[in-house]
Amino acid sequence: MAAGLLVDLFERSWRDPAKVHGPSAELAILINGAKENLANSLKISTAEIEIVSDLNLGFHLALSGLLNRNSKLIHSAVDRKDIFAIARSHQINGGEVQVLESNLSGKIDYSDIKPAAQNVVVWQSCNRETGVLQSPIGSISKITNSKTLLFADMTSASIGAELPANWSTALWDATSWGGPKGIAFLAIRNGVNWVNPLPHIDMERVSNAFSIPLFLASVVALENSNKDFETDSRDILELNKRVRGFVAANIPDADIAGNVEDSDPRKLSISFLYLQAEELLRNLEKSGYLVDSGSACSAADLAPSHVLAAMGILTHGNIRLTFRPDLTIAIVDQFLTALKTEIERARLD
Amino acid sequence: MRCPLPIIESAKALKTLMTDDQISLQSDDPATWVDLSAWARMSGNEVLQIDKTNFLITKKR
Repeated sequence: MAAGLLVDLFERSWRDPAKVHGPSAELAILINGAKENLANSLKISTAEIEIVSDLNLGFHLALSGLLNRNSKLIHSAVDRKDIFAIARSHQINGGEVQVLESNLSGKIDYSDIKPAAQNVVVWQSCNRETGVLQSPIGSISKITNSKTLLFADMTSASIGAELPANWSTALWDATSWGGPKGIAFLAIRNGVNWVNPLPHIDMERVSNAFSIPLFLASVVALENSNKDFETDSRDILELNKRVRGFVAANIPDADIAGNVEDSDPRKLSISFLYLQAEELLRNLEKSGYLVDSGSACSAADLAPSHVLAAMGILTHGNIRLTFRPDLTIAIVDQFLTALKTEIERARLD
Repeated sequence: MRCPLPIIESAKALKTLMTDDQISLQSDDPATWVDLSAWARMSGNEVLQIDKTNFLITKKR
């Protein structure tokens, strides 16, 4: 629905909203209204929101803006590669880094963090690959040192996912609710000691060089997703359980990442023993299914998923499934039949 | 030899052995230790990492 609006939004949004002309002022009002709707949905204040045009840039701003040379950066082994890149850079600059291990279920125990001034902790709401959720009220909420800063990675979070009470910065990706690529939302909590880590020349906290049509389309997509979220989530959970049940009953030697109770049902990662993912993906495509994988699938990509490796889940023979609201039981059942056939065929070879 | 071949070949070799027999595996694939550990958990066998590229597998089932 948001995609259909894009042409209209591009036609209406070419003006500079900072100018004094009437149409520019109208656009500025439209942007402010969209920002308010966004803030309400994300349960933060409008003044805390910044719009960025690149997700990687968003990670850098959100996390590096909390760090200084004396900071101890604490993040988990299942965090996104952007976090590892920032951690490497922090170490090169003389900073300290601690990596928290994951258990087999993908859960992180933040109670291991020793209280210290200048801790900067990364907390991930939902893992992009496996869908494993970290609780915002578990061990992360017990980090009570007033000097500890917390970056909440909400980039794969479902709509309505709660921020930890002690968050300092947060980042959302519009694609996680069906919005376009190229827009991310950075939140900087009022009163938090955050410093823009990039050179900047004006009084703006963060550069406002983002695509206005993409921003407006992201907010429309969020509103659309909000409308049917509860019904969609219930249906998707049933599909997720159906796949898990089928695999457990019909395909031996399968390793499913994460428990259904602790995972976002939109995502599912399964690895199959004695199987090359590349071959399985090619054969599934011939049957009409485009499936992603966390395995090292090609000669150019020798490293398997660091998330699966950190959890201790099998990294070869891996498939990643994404459940969308328009999927039906019939489509999922057809896919499962094809999956079982292809796995049996590949294992015979 | 890249994963999953070290696991597949080890599992094949293990079938011909008795309980507590051992296999020495040499592999420089970066995924070998992670996948060997996962395979041991799933299959009920035991594995030990000697160094970066050498592993010891003990048949338990």
